[in-house]
Amino acid sequence: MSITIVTSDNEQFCVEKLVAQRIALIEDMVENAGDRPIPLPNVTASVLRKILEYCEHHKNDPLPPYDDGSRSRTTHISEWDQKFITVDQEMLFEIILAANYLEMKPLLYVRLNVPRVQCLTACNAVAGDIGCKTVANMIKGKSPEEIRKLFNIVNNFTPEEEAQIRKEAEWAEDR
Amino acid sequence: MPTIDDLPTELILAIFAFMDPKTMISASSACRQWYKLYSLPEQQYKVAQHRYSVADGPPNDEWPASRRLEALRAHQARWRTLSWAKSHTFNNDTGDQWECFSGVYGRANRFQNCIMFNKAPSVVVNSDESMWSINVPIPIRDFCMDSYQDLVVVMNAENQRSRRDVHFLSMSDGRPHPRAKYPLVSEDISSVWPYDSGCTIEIYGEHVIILFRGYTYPTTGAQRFSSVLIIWNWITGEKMMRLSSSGNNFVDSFCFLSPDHVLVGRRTYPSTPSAQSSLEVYCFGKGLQHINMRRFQLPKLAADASLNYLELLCQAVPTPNHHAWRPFYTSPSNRICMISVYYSNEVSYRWVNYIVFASTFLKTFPNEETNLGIVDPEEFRYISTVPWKDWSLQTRITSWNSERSVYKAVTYGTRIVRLLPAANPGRYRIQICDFNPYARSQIKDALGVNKRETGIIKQKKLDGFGMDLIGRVDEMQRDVKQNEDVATVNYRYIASAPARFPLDSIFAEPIFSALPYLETTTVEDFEVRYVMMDFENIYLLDHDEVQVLSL
Repeated sequence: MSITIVTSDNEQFCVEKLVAQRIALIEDMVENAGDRPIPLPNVTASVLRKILEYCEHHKNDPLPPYDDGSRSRTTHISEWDQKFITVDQEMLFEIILAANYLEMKPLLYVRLNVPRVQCLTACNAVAGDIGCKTVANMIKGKSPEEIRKLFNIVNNFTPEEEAQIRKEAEWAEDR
Repeated sequence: MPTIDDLPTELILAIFAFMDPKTMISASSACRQWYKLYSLPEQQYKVAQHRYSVADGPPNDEWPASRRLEALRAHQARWRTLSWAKSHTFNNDTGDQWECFSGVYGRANRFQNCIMFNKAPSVVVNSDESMWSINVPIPIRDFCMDSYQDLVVVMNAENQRSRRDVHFLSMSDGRPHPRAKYPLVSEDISSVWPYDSGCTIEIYGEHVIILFRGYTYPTTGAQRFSSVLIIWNWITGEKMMRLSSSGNNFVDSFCFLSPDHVLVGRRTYPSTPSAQSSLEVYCFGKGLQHINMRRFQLPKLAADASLNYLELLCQAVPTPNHHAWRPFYTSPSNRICMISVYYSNEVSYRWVNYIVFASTFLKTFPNEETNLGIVDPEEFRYISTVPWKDWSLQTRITSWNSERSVYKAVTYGTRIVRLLPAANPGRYRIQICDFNPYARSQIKDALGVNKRETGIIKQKKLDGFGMDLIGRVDEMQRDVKQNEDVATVNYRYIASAPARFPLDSIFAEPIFSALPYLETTTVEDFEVRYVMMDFENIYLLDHDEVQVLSL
């Protein structure tokens, strides 16, 4: 059985149900949509293609265990995921935003009725997790100036604030 | 096209959750928005855990990050200012064997069948004082406990035979521990029997180590020290390792480096200048067939000097669990290990303490030589050697004059507590050295030791590697707090400048020392014969009572 999805740039995707089920938002919409195509006005075709590639690869994965916050957060990314997420910065943020919008967390959490905010901070979206890990890994070991350059962030501290913050952070360089 | 600025706050927070504390600090300095997120309790708590070397406790709805952060800061402030939150006294008149573990003090008499426990009230989790006792099935020779696992390990007192029974019992009722598959293991120690001179028991996670000591008379008039070290998994009952004396070279002391690694101090008796005493690290967690050993060399001694005593201190830390809930625990990855050694030659003697993070013994060294060809008497697979010059850079060395200070010093987490007699008889100076770099920098800040001076000390350390030894002590002292109820508190930062010392005939290799500490002096007359420490308390043991200083 398959489902039709329409992206913001009007491209139609015919998706196997098992694959689409990895996406919570679609799972919710399928019930109301009946046979009609499901519109995703916030996702472009190029991003959805990536997302579906991920879902296709992970369609048989078991749902991850419920995260009660005690699990230590590993920044390890599996080989396939690493290859999948090796994209330019714009696409990386597109994927993170789309995964967030599509609520690509395992369906279990939706059914448990865990509040939305808790899902995002504690469990996170599966694809979003990899995206966020990737961003965290990109930042690792870099100085504040290098981080700003990497993401085109504007330094909006006053010189006094910056001096204060540097003093607070000093011990980190000591080690 | 989106940029990082387009991500909503919740996603930036999700990214923060994957950063280590150091990266998080760097990221917080990038822009105001990120700094604001970094200032939230969740992020601050994570950074504070790292700074103070603590591990987070299990989740608890009543303890969100903000409350944990507040409790951790208050706890650390009490350590930093040595402000005793409460002081308790336990009866100790019936104990000649004693132990403490995370707020519980246990005592027993040798050859009797009873262990008594006192639990100190906890300031951190706000729990009450309690006491109870258990009856055990055998007369006690020695015991060790882990209240987080509800485990007490008891060895029987026995004079008639060379077999020793070790029981794994529940601390709450004295019955066989429900998790132990074999609550009784038994071991033949005929190599140290019949002149059994005691044992040491330690617990860390699933493993229990017992060192049995004794001596034998191989020929008339000749006395030989002997010992056997045995490691069990107390849950499965499996024996993980057995290490015995080889010739005159015997195991003198040990401590856990991790639940799977033990540091063993071997020394030779009778001690001769050429005798090879060494530290050995055994990785035993994978079972008998996979034990490997690394030898850490101690500095070479002058031709006429010898090593006469070796004690290793590195307290095992509790494994977080729901049974004894705390919002945070001492971090198992950042622990201080202290090796106390007594050296002498014909004209002088000295106690020297090598202070090093336990993790140093577990990492790899570039010049480490692996000798696969050597067949150890116990047939371990891999043996490698780390020369002193390789690990000395990570070692802090102190010489506490001629006092047998090792009997009155303890380690816990990143701290060492040491007890010294004060000028007035019956009063004591309690010195707390915290080797956590962040805590140390806070003490230095309080004393106004600026960065430039620290730089010079480092410089001297490198220059001083020519021939210099433990030397003159420069003291900077400032009284910070006066609390006449219990004690006077001084902050001190002591850094020794390398200088020649009249006793330097002991070593053939250069060593260096520096030691920062906080100090407090007791004001009550109280004959302290032993000191112990755990996460929240310092225990001062008298002949018939125990003073508990709760922080």
